[in-house]
Amino acid sequence: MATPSTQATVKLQSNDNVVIEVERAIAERSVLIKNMLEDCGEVTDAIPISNVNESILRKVIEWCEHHKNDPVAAENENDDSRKKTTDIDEWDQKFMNVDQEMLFEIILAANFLDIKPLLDTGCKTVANMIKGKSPEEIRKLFNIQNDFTPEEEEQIRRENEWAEDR
Amino acid sequence: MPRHKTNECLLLRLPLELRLIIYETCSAFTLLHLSLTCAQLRAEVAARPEIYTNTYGYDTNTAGPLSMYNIRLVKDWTERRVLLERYQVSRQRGSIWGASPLLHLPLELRLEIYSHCSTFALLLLSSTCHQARAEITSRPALYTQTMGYVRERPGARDCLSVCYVRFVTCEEEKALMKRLYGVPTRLDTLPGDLWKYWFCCGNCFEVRCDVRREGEVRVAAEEKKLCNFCAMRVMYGDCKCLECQLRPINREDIKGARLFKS
Repeated sequence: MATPSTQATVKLQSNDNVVIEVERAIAERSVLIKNMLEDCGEVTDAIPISNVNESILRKVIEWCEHHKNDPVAAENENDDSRKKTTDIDEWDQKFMNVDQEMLFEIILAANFLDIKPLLDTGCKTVANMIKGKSPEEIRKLFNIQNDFTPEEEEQIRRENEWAEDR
Repeated sequence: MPRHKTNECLLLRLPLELRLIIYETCSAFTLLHLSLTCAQLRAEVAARPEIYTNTYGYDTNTAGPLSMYNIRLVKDWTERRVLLERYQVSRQRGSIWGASPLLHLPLELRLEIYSHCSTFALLLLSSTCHQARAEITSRPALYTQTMGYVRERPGARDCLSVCYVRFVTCEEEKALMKRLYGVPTRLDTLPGDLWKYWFCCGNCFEVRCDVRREGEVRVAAEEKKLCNFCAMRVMYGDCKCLECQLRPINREDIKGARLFKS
C-alpha cells in the first residue's frame, strides 16, 4: 500500500495527448482517479484517460470544479427517490445544454471515470429529452430507424388500446 | 523465436477464406477503410460485392464499388469519431449518417437512462424500434419501478401498455397522451351508443377512462376534469392519496372543473 500523498495537483492526459493539470481534490471527484491515486501515492506523470478526448475532459473537469464541495454519496446508496425525479440543478441544466454528440460523450466519460452524480445528471438530461415526445419524435431526435413492419406496428397499437376499465 | 518476420502483415498471411470471414464481420465503414490500406485488400473486397453489400451500414439503395457514397450507418462510437474527424462531416451530418447515439451507448448506460424515464415515456420509447422494445419490455423490474406505473391492479401481470400508465408526469406528457390516445372509441360490446375515452386529471395527472353516450363525448372531452380522489378532495377536504399529496391542489386552478364520478 502506498503512503498517502499530499500533492496538490495531478496531471490528466486525454486520448489526444493533451495534458491538463487540475487540483487533486477536483480530480478525485472521479472514483477511478481517486482509487488510482490512493493505490499509487505520489504520481508525477500524467494519468492517461484513454477513453476521453480533450474537449470532453475539460468539460468534465469544469463540472468537477463546480461540484468539488458537494458531499460524496454513500457507496451503496440506492435511493429510490434519486430515480423518481428528473429535476436537474439550474447550473447543471446549463452545463448539459450542449449538442447531442457531446452529451453522450459526457455520459460515457462520466461512466468511465466513475463520477456517479455527473452520470446521473447526464442520464436525467436524456430522460428529459425523451419526456413528452411521441415515438416518431423520439426516432427523429435520436436518429432511431423504425425497423417495425406495418404488422408489428399494428400489433403495438392494439396492445395499447384501452382494452380494460380503469 | 518468432515464426514470422516482424515487418510482415499477419492479416495478409492468413488464408484468403479466413480473411473473407473477417470481412463479413466488419461494418461497411470499416471494410471501406480496410480496403483502402493496400492493393491486395482493395482487390479482394472490390471483387466481392456479395460480401460488402451485406455488411452493417451498407446502403442497399445505392450501387457501384464500395465507397463513402454507399455508407448509410456507422456501427459504434469509434467509427463515428473517425467519420467526424477524417471526413470533416459536421455533427449535424454525422447524426444523419451515423446510427443512433442512444442505441450505441453501452446497455448499462441505456438502462440507467430508462430508469429515469416515466412509465409513459418508456412506453413510447419502447414503440420506436425493435432494440428499444426488447430491452424495455423484457425487464419488468425496470418498468414497474418507473414513475406512473400501475402496481396495485388486482389480477394485473407485469406488462407495459397504456393501460398500465397510472399517471403522467408533466403537462407535455398530458398533452401528448391526449394527442395519441384521446380519440374516443365506440364500445361495440355494450348495448347503447356508448363511447370510451380517456382523460388525465386536471390536478394530479392521473389517467382515467370514461364512458359516455355519443352526444356527451365531444362536450366532456373538452372539459377540465378531476379524478375521483381530487374530486373528493374538493368536495370533502384533503384527500390522502399519494398523488394529491404530491401535487397540492389549487382551488383557483380548478374553478369550474367538472367533478367526475365513476
